Formats: sequence, structure tokens, C-alpha cells
Amino acid sequence: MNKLELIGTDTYVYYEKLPSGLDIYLLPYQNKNNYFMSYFTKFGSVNLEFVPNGEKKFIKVPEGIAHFLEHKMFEQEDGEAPFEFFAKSGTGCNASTGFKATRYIVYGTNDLEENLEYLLKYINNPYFTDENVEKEKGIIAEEIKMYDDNPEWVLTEEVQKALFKNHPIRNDIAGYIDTIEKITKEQLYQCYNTFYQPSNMGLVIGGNFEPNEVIDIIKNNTYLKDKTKTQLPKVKDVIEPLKVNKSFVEIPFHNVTNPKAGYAIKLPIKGMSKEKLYEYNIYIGMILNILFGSSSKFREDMMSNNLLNSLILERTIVDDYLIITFWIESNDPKTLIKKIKEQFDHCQISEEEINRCKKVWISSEVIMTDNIEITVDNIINDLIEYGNIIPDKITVIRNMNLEKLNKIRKKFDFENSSTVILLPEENEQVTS
Amino acid sequence: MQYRKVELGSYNLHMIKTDRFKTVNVQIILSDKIKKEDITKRNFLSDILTYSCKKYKTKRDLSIASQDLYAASVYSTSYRLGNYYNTDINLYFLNEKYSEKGMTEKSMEFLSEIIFNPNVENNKFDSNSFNIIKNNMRIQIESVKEDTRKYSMIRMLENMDKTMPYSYHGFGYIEDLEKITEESLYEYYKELIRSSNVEIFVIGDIDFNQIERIVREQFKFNVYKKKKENPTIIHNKVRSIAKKVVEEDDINQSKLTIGCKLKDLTEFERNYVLTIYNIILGGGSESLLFKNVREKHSLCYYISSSSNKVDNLLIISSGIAKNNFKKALSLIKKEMKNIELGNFSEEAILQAKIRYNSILDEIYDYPNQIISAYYASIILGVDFPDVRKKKIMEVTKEDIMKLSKKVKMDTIYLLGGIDKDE
Repeated sequence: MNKLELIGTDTYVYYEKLPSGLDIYLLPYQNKNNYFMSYFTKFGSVNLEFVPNGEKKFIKVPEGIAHFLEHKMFEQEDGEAPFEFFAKSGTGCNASTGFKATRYIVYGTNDLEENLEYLLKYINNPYFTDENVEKEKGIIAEEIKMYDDNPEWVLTEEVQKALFKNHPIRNDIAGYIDTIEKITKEQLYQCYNTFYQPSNMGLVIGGNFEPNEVIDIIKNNTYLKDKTKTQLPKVKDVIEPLKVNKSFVEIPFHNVTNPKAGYAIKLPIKGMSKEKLYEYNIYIGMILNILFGSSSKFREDMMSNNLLNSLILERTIVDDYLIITFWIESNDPKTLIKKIKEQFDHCQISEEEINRCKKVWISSEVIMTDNIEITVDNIINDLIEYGNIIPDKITVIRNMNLEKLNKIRKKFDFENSSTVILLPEENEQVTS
Repeated sequence: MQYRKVELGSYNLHMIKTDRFKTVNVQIILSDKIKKEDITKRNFLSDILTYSCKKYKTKRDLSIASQDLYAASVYSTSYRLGNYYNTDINLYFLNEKYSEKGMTEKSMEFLSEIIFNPNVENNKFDSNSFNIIKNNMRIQIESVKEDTRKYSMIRMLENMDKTMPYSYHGFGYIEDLEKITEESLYEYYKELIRSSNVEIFVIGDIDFNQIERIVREQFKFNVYKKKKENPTIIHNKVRSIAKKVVEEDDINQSKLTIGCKLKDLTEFERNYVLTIYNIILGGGSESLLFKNVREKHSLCYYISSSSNKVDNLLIISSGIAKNNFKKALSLIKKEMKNIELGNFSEEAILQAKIRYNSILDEIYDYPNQIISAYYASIILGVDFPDVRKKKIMEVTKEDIMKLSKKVKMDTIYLLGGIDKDE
């Protein structure tokens, strides 16, 4: 096992890659009663075309299958649901599916070892039948309908659709009522056998434990012991142009009272090394934070002029692109977006502002490590986005400087952007 | 963990020393009897105090000041606790070990500025801050329907009894908002600072003497001492046949909310038996409701129950297709009946107890939860977590069955209903 420090935070990580390719990361904490474990696979809603393990040809599976599979992992042949097992020790369990990964989490204060063994057992023993697949369709249909009433969720989906022409990130994570209807147990096994292989998975655990004891449990686990290393899943490459699918969309929505908008920009990052990408990403983050964050003049002015109610900035990596999104609540999103561009072009950034931002970010890195769940999640995010954990974030932040920031800023291009606005339905009647 | 309480005239300082956290957390709780007409004003005040102050006249200045304190964070929340309405003003900042010497004093000073030197000139709050907050509050109030689950809860409580505090809108009222002026808000500020019950909590790797000195110097609340009353709500009527209200709405998923009143609970029932009853009925994925309504009948994605011992209420919430309303309701009633009849296992009781004890253990992993545990013991007379861990083990199956007869389904509300309900 290797040991490294999350620099500047008094937090240590032990890690090892098992011969099967499974990545293990352990974060021992003193002074905590709780633990949090997350077993994940790099299989998300975007993985719709791939070569199944042991086969040669690409297949296409219905939208929403990764999420469906996540639900069905909770079926066990012996009839005892994972919920039931974990409940015996008062332990919680859950799962979530994103664009790029599915995570299975277990959290509690009791019986860490037994629960870890069980987590490994249940994820490595799928049990799909025609009946249990059928039964799930009603439940997931209700989940989809629940999200269809949620304006923030719908807005997120519409922004992806406007921004991307070909990339499967265009699809809703849970799929659609008609696509989940088509899902069969055979397809679920195909996905499982392809993506739930150790080389495509990782396990991250934080809590009050002795790392050597926990790694032994993992190494000696019956269900992991015999696993051999397989090739990484072969997923169909998508050719996604830099040009956006639609640059402007306005949607009257049944459940919104004040306009909400997403303004997203596509920045090319193809060919960038992972280190470069990390650095580039946080520089972009810093520029946006200084220009549009809580201490920016922009925000103050826009709020005083009654043009802004809420503004949240987000950055995500989607294959060859870094996506920047401004999530906006405003009575006049169009004007606000115009102002955002103007601000970006005209506003200077000072050394002082950079130093303040660094101070805040470094402090936040330290504060975050107090929370086991957040720390485990951050490690998984790094593994998914960069293929590695980044233990020296604080050092990278410390080294940021104005010269480099200005260089990156100069190349920033608003050209490829999409605006999506959700409007109250009455507005539609007024204009039509 | 060490605890020290200091009585500072009309208010109390509670200090908890622990090396479990890298931050120091401060919570100032201002509490007063709830008045419906004051809720909007109070929310307004709680927002504006943390938006700007005399020293930092704009949100921007205030943000910069907090960032310079190594990302110290100030935020406030207002919420109802039974018959009382509380405003918490919170601060957390890095332990000096991770920032620099002197930051404890400076961060506490920052909080003191925010509370005691608001952005007021000529007995009026600053108009710019005032208008921004007002506008944001208006939007918040208007957009309440966007969260259909929450809206269904509000409508259920209004239908239950719109004269009772549990039905008051925690986000405020448009009519009241329009009446608030820069002057009237300042009048209300002075009243709040003078007349609330005040408790101050500080938790972290702290020096008791230093914190006490800073609080004595910086936090000069001059409130007149009032008799503390129990905030628990007692129902004066319980419907023998539940009121059923179905409202149409253009939404994809109908939201079912069921309110049950709890009548004549003993202290032990309220603090212990109710907890176990709720976990077994709808407290998680192991519960009767989840297993039957979701897993067995595929009627919903979520279904859960939650109990509120201060309001004496138990509330069940689910998202369903509108034509499954009758079916879902009868399944819910059936599971409640099953508890009354004792159709649940000893194992389920034991698991609920273990789950509860695990939740209690986790309290010590989060500074705000530790503060809440202390506050609950002061205000509600709730036992400390270590005592609770022992007492919960005393709950028996008979206790749960006995309690179940005191859970009275009172109001059934469906948002987005009708069509063809079979």
C-alpha cells in the first residue's frame, strides 16, 4: 500500500491497485464515529454504444440503462435485499447514477468490516430476472415524472441538448418512459459484464479504521479474489463538433414562476494532458469566480439593478470539451447574459483578487476534509475526471499567478455557447 | 469533549471544547413566540443582517471581509420550532492552526459587527440592501409552487388547521412583505435584539477563557429575561374522519401528503416510542411503507414518513400517479393498521433502535448537530445522546402498538389529482 498526504490538510490516503485492476483508496480518520464507502464503476448514462465483454461488435442499448442497472443491483438471489442486510447494523446504503459513473454508497457507524464484505458481495452478484426487471419499470417511471416537474432538472437537460449535437450526454440520465420500457434482463447482464469489471471500478473508504486491516479484508474477499484483469470496456467514440447544436432556446414551462436560464460555453480541451487540464480548469474557475462570484462588482451591480436574483457557476468536463455554465435566475436573462460577456471583456483582474481567491480556496480545501463524505466524493471525482487523485491541490493553487491567468483569459472564447431559458407559461400566451 | 456554560446576565454562553474539527463554529439563537404577522419581517431581518452592515456597506464588501478571514462564513436561518420562531446566526472559521494567529478574535468581531452594527442611517436600513432583499424574498414567496412536494406539504397543513402555527408559511407572505419599510424593519430589529431569548454556542478546539472574554466584550445583548415556555403544540381537536382534499394541478407527478395528529403522548412516547414507530412505518428503505407501496406494488419512487414531536405531528409523503391515489392510500392505511395489530417483528424494532443509536453516534461528527443536541436539551428537556442511547432500548412492541392508537390520520391532501381515479 502506498501512502500520501492531501497536502496541507493533515489528511492521509492509502492506495493500491489490485492485480485485477481495482483501485483502492483508504482514508483513515481519527476523531470520527462514522464511515463512508463508495464503490463505483465508470459506467454512466453516456455509455450507450459499446462492445460487450467477450464479443466483437458494437451494440446499442436503450437510454437510461445505467440508471436502471443501478436500481436492479439491489436484487439478490437469496432474496435478502441489501437494504435489509445493512439495516441490521443500522447502516444506510444508497446509489446514484451520473453521466459518467454509477456509485454505490454505504454509510454508518457500526460493523464496517461486515458491511464492506457485504458491499463487495452484492455488487459482484447481480441477479436479474424478467419479473424483477418488469417490476422496476413502474418505479422508475415515477422517478422520471418526478424530475419532469423540477424546473432546475429540466433546465439542465435542455442545456445539454442545446450544447451537444451528437454526444450521448444529450440524453436524460434516467432515460425516457418509452426507452426504459424496452430494457431486458439480457441487456442488463451485457452492461454489467462489460462495465462492472475491476479494471473499470474503484473503491474509496473514509472512516475511523486501520488501513492495513481494511485492505486485507478487500484482498481476501471471496468475490474479488478470483477476478482477473480484463481489458477496459470499448466504448464508441463520438465525434462532437465545437459548434453548438442550438445557440438559443426558449421554453415555456408549466412549473416555473420566474425565468430560469442556463448559459453554457463549450471550450475545447482536446489533446491536453490531465495535469494541464486540471490547471486550466482551475484557472478558468478562478477567472469566473473573481469576475462573477460573491465578491464581484458585477454581482453587486446586477442585483442593485434588479437584473439578478441568483447566479451559480459550474464547470464540467465532457470528453473533448470543458463546459462552463452560468445558472441564472433573473427577470431578464437575455440582458444579463449580454452583461456577462461585456464584463468578461472589460474587467481587469488584480493580483490582490487572485491572492484572496487563493486564500479562500486553500481554506476550503482544509475545511472540506473535516467531512468524510465530501472528501471521498472529491477523490472519486478526481479519479473519474483525471484518472488519478490530485493530492497537491493546495500547492497548485498556491502557484497560480496573474500572468498565466491573463494568458488563459485572452484565449477564452464565447463563440460556442448555448442559452436556454425556461419561462412561465403565461408569458407564452402574452406573446402569441 | 468539555462543556462549560456561563450565564451572562440575560443570556447564556455555551462552550464546547473538542479537537474533532478543523473549524470553530458559533451559533447565536434568537428565539421568541411565533406571531404569524412577524414571520416575513423576521426573515427579512435575518437576510439583511448577513447581507451588509455599517462597516461593510455592500454584499461585496462583506464578502471580501469574510474571504480575508480565511473564508470565514456567516449565514442565518429562520425556522419555526413548535410555538416559537427562531433565527440562528451562524459563523464558522478555520482553527488558527490552519490560518494565522489572531483570527479567532477577528472572526468573532466580524460576527459582532454584523449583529450589532447593521447598515442603518437615520433609523432606516440602507435602501439598496433593502430593495435587493425585498425583491429576492418576493421571488422566493412567488415560486413556492415550483417545489411540488413542499407545496403539497404546505397545502396539507393549511387544510389541517389554518389557525395553528404549523400551517404558517415559513417563507413569509406577500401582503406582509409589501408593508415592510426601511424604518419599520429597523424598529423590528431593535425589538428583536431586546426581547428575544438568546443562547450563544461556540464549539471547536477553543480556549474557554478567551472565548468568554471575547463574548463578554463583543456580544452585549441587553435582553430582558423572559420566562421560557415549552414550545410544544397541543392539538385542541382531532378529526374522527380524516378530511380529504384533492386539488387539480398541471404537473406530471401527483404529490400525496398525509398529516396525522398525535394525541396525549407521554414524555417517553414523544421522545422514544414515536422515533421507533416512525422508523418502522416510513423511516427508510427498510420501512413498511417503502417495502410495500414501492417495492411490492411499484406505485412510487419515494415514500416516507417523518415525525415532529414539537408539533405533535406525523407526516407521510409520496409521489404517485393520480389514478393510483385510492390504491396508495389504502396501502398506507393498511400498513398503519398492521402496526396497530402488532404485525411487525421484534427484529424490526431492534433494527430501528440500532439505526437510531447510529444516528446518535453520528451527532458527534458534525459541530452543528452537537449544538442542536445541547439546544434540544435546554429548550425541550430532551435527554443527551448518551442517555437517549440507553433509554431507546427500553421501547417494547406493546409501547409501539399503544402509541399507534394515538396516531390519528387527520388530513389527506393530493396535489395534481382527479382524472380517472379508480
